Amino acid sequence: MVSFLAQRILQGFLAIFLVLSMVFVVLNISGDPIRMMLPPTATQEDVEAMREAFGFDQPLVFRYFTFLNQMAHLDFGHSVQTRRPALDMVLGRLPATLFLAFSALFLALLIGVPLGILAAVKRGSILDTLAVLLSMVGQSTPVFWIALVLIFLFGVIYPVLPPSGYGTAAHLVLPATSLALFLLAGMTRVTRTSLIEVLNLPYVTTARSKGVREHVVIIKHALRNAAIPVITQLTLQMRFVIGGSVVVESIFGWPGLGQLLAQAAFARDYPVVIACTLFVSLFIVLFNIALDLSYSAIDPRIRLWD
Amino acid sequence: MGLMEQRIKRPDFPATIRAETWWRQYLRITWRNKRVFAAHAMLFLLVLAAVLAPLYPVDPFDQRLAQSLKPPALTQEQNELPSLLGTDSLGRDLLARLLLATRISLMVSGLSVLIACLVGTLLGLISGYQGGLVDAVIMRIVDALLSLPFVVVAITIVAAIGPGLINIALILGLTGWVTFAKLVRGEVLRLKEIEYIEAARSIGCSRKRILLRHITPQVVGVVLVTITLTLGQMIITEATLSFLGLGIPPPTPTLGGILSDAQTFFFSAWWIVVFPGVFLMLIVLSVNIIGDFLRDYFDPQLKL
Repeated sequence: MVSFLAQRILQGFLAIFLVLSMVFVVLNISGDPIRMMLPPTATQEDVEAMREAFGFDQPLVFRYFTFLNQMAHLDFGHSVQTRRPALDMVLGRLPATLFLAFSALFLALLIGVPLGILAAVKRGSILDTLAVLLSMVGQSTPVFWIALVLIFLFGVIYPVLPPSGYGTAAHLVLPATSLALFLLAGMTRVTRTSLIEVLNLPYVTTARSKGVREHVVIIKHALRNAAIPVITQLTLQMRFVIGGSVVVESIFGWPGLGQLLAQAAFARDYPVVIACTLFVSLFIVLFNIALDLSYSAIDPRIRLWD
Repeated sequence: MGLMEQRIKRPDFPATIRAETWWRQYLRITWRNKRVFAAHAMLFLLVLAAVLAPLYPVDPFDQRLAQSLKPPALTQEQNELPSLLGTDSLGRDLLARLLLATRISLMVSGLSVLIACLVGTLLGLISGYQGGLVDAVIMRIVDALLSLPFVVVAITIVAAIGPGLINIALILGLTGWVTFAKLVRGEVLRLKEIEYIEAARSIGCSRKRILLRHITPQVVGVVLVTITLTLGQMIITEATLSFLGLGIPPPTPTLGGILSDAQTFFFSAWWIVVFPGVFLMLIVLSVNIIGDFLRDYFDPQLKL
């Protein structure tokens, strides 16, 4: 187990290292950012002085190693906009994003999984048709439009919920629901397909013919085996939750990492963009390792180590 | 004249049993499934609307401030065409803008899927067939890109090279190839173990010939399915970027951009919020349904 973990963590670090290298390459092939940082009235001498101060007169390879060295020390430099350390800005935003992402995940599991189970059990019923329809429409609708429609419905027409802000539980409802709808669609779909497949297996027939009651067959026998694809789906979906949170946070004024990233990208605030990218990728790598570990907990036949 | 000749003589098959051409078979199967047929029809209509958008007689850039934020109407006003879906805050006709936006959205996402497909399929073929170090390097890059959300990669690059139509298509294409590479590689690994490749090798086919003539035609199914499923994702990502102001800059209308403007007029103009979203949803929904259908069509066992 230790060696498995070590291997996965090593792979994760390699992935993050490559992400940073790609970011470095993209930033450097697109020209240096000095012109962006100075007012348009700056003279050629000012530009040269600034270039020297930031080390842009050095050779590319040298700059790459300097960049990696800074990253290894979590030194992202200061935000171009606020002059505050980029790391502090990102760390300050992290809790809000995690809170939102996990609320959405929890909501999607809470509704999506039971809905998927009901649809699989009552296959062909109206409920099943509705569940399939919901999952298709949910996966085809952009998160930001769902957010706009929800604001329109519950913030404007029936003003029962605050359309933006942060702090109370009421503020969480709309952003979390917008994010959760997309996730919920995927969860419902995978739970349904996976359970239908498992319910056709011979061991389920055996359990039924022994006289085990139907709800016990489903909950105790079938569900555990049907859970693996649902977890795989979660790994895939976490990327979309974080991606979706960028736009959801911007719409609802949720003070998270996504909102910061969108603003920083808009202002071409490189230090902040890089710091955000690093933390997002770190979070996804760690989340995926945690889910990998849960495979063996759910199905002891799956052994990821030995 | 004996038994032999009788046996050799080909029986006359009735016309209906003759092998169907692939497009007839495709039409027959599509026709049978109402949902899939509706999706094809919807996509056809939307593409037709996008192609014919410049023929729509109202100018999408024409600002008439007197006509600002008019609700959808069928009646004609002052010798002008009715604004069927209403107007925006600058009095521009919403339907004309939506048609043009659909055209741009399909062009950008189509271009980016083309780039992603070419790069990804090529790298996937090489990675799967060559194996070894090449495979390891390509797959680590794939893993790295997959450790970030699509939108975040795109935003990071936009921050560096700036927004714009061509830039967005390039960015989406050069981040979207990973899906193709991963799936094509998996398919090549599976095909490599099948006997006919071994047979080709044992009669002395070169590695290049095996790859080009025996493996590449077999991955077409996976590639087609991935094209449709990626297309939907590209359309949504482009809209998201434009919504955030990081995509295609105004005054060019985009579905995301129009929705972004709509945020200001929530209280007064529901139509600017509703219609662009409906357009977006209908495009992506029909593309996704076709993608699901193609997946079953090519391989019922295939799980993406």
